[in-house]
Amino acid sequence: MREVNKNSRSLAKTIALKGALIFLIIMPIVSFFIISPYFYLHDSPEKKPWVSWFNDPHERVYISWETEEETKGVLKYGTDKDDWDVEITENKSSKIHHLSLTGLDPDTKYYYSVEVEGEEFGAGMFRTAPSGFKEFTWVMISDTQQNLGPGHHYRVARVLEQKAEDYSFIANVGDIVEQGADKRYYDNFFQIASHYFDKLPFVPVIGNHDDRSVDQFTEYFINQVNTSQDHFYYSFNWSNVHFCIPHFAHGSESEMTDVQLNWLENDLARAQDKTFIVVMFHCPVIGASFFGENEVLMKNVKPILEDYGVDAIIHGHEHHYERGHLGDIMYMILGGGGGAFDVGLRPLPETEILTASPCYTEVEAKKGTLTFSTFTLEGSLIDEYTIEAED
Amino acid sequence: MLETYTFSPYLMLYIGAIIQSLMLASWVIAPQNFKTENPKLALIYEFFMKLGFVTTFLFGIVFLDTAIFWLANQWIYADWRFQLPTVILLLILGFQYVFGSFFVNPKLSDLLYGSGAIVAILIYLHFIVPLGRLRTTVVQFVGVLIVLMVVYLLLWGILSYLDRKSRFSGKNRELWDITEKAQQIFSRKFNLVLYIIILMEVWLKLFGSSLFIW
Repeated sequence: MREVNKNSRSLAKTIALKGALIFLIIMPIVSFFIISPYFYLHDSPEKKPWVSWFNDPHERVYISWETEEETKGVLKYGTDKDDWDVEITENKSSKIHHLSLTGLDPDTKYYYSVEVEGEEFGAGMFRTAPSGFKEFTWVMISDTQQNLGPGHHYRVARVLEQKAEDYSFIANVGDIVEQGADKRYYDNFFQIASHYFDKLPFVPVIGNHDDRSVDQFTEYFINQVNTSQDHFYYSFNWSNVHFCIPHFAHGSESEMTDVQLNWLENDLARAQDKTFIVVMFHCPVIGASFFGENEVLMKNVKPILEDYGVDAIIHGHEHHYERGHLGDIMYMILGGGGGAFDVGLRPLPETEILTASPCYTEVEAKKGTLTFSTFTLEGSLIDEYTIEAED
Repeated sequence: MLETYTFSPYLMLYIGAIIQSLMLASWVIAPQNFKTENPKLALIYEFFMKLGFVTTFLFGIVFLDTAIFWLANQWIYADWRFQLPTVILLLILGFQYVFGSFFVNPKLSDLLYGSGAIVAILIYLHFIVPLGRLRTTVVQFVGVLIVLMVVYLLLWGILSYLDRKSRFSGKNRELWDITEKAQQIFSRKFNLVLYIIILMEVWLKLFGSSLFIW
């Protein structure tokens, strides 16, 4: 009997030891998928101010912020941060705040400060668009979502923080967050983006993951161009470039509404006096990865872009960097902004360059050229391409 | 740039980490050179050994293919510090899995299975997948591995049958045996250290970093 008990104890000990060893071996893998979100997703509802617009950045922008409790804020702004020109006090309390700054002078640097309950909540600066031609540079990233682990948006943010004053604004070509309906992802995004939001106005493009709650997206990014169709599209001009931002997050039939396609055509028709037309939408028409060629966009959108002489289309969605030509239109996929990279890559005949590395793209607009330069976070040039204006 | 399909080395390294963890776990459960007189247990053991060999072998080919085509195709455009550690680890892992599965003490039939699987994977990834322009899916990837497993098991069945026939049996002898040497190089200690390095790289990749970028 004693021998049996001894054997049982020994067996139990062996099983426990082996079980513990197996747990130790397998745990680090399991934790990637199950535990890691708890390390980086936490409620931090306060969001420092950010600047955006949906129509005319020559004379009107919005400054927004979020507070933990419902509060009334005071916004001060002007061209001299020691002597504010204007002070606006909110007349009702809210958590998410949007204040419209109108009557601004074109091509002017403004400073702003937000006070909540008598204390400075955040401060920053922005520059309005010039009314005529002026050389400028903007920067683009995409897919800052945290789809597998915390991702590298924070590394991108640190680099952009250093270079922010070189740029007029930053465009994020969609999938800003992984779960558009889960506010914690926005909390995390804004916390990371606060590294550059105080110096760089934000041009948001809606992605398929943001699209899971258009309501949540429009709570943060104000847009009065189209609020009834569940679509987030708008356009604006900056110097000699027209920026058109339709809502093609999935490239699905449901996005090909008459209202949106008519808006797109009319918008591009009105932009014919601009030297360059850049269209940004999340889902690529063609791409070298998972999604391949999108037949819906190919059939419904590509002909419109060609008819109105679009120079460049900028996408995200696929998590790699790619540039190529779709007929005469240069296309780019900027999926290196933060999310985990694609399952695999399959270059198409249209693909000219392709890689998967954390990166950002800056674009220099001159009188007759648009130069797109893509860099790794260590500053190495991955790709440079110049579009020349037609005579 | 080659117009062919290349798996992402980052994804493959996650898979490599999973396989490596299962392999280490299996060593905890069943020690190396496990022997039993229980015929049922022996059969189960042999089945899992074969399954393990086939899985590691197939993934080994995919890992090597990914690393080689990534080097040939993509990585020159981006930062080597981000990509190189992953690619090196895949080469080590792929070589160990392919070599350890079928080339340590192979019979002629093992070389036939191995070569058949390599050719099938190369044809699928580099000739069939590039023909399409539409969406590729993870299901396709899992699908190809299932198909390869089935092809392998069929080949195994046919060759086992032929093995019993005297004409083939004579030819299907062990070609060489370097088990001792292989066990020295790819020891348990080596695999544990490799697993830890892979884990570090995978974790760093999730932060957009790598072993060469701090």
